[in-house]
Amino acid sequence: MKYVKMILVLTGIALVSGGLLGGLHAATKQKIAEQTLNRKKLPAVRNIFPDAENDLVADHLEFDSGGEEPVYVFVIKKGGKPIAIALEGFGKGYGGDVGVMVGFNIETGKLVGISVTTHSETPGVGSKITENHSFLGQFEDIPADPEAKIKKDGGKIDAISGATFSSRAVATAVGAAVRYYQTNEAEIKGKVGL
Amino acid sequence: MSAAPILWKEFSKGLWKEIPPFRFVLGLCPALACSSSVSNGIGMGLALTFVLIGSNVIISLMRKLIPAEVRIACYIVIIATFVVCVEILLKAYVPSLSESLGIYIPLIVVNCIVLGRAEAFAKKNGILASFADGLGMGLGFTMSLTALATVREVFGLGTFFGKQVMPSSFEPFAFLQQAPGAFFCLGLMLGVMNLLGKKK
Repeated sequence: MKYVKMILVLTGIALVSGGLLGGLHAATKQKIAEQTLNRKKLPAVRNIFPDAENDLVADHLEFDSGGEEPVYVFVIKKGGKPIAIALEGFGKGYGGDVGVMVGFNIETGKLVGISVTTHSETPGVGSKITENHSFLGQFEDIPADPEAKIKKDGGKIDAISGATFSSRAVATAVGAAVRYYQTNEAEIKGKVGL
Repeated sequence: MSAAPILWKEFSKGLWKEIPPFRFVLGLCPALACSSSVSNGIGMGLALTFVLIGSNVIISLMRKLIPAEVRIACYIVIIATFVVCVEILLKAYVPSLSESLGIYIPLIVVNCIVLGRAEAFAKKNGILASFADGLGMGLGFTMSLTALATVREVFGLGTFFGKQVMPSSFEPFAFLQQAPGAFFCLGLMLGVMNLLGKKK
């Protein structure tokens, strides 16, 4: 009888707690997605395309990723014509996933540039990936390579010294974004209206 | 004694006599990590206060129902629920604070102050007293963090609440912003508190 009570009470508490948090999660999901869109993704896109002329929020597309969050594809227009798109890829860093926004020129398929959206790398060490221009600049105007790698791994990208792990995460994230773009290129272009 | 003075006693002990990080030297992890700026310190303190009040009240409410053998497991589930609530709400409505506090919000679950108050106070006392205890302890923690953060921000960055307060000729002690500086400050404050405590 004693054990039954123990099990019942603990199960009861866990059930109530689970239900409560589930409800709260569902109620705030939209708001949280909105916050990451406005605070992380949009600034990254603007960083790559400072001269975008269109409303990036209104023109963004959402693709089903199979996971909980959709894949956001941003469309950059100039003179009313779509010239580039940007989407986010993720790579495993030292302190969790590193998110990188990657801009593609739709016509040539080349990378326009990249910008880090989210990371939890060591402050002052791995966090250099967000601001080291000579490192980030290596991803500007290069052919899209789904196997982007740092030199240590046999690739072409110079890693930031002391932040090899985080640099590798950026390269992996860029590779993931390129892979997504190249696999879904036809569909993305179709939706953009090309 | 009538009810009000007792409640006041339970509330006020957290503010000085048993002020958590200085008297008990509990909850040091967030106290050190989240005191680099005043806004972080207050944010962390208020988050902890919310969790403390919530868990204290619920645990006190259920104190006759929870079997002694599984009480710690029950406490942890209740505390974790409140912590995740705070985490989700911060993410949705105060994203800047959620970013700067980062991992330390979920870590409130294993904060010794919260479990300590559940075990030492809420499981033996009524709802109102537990509420007063949680509020007092939480505010005491907030005050300590604010005090620590004030020293670290004013001398480590030359700012207070993000605004420049030191003259521009002042060269900030960057050391205070880092982890060793946090220990250093905390140690000095503990020393001062002990000195003051002894005189009483």
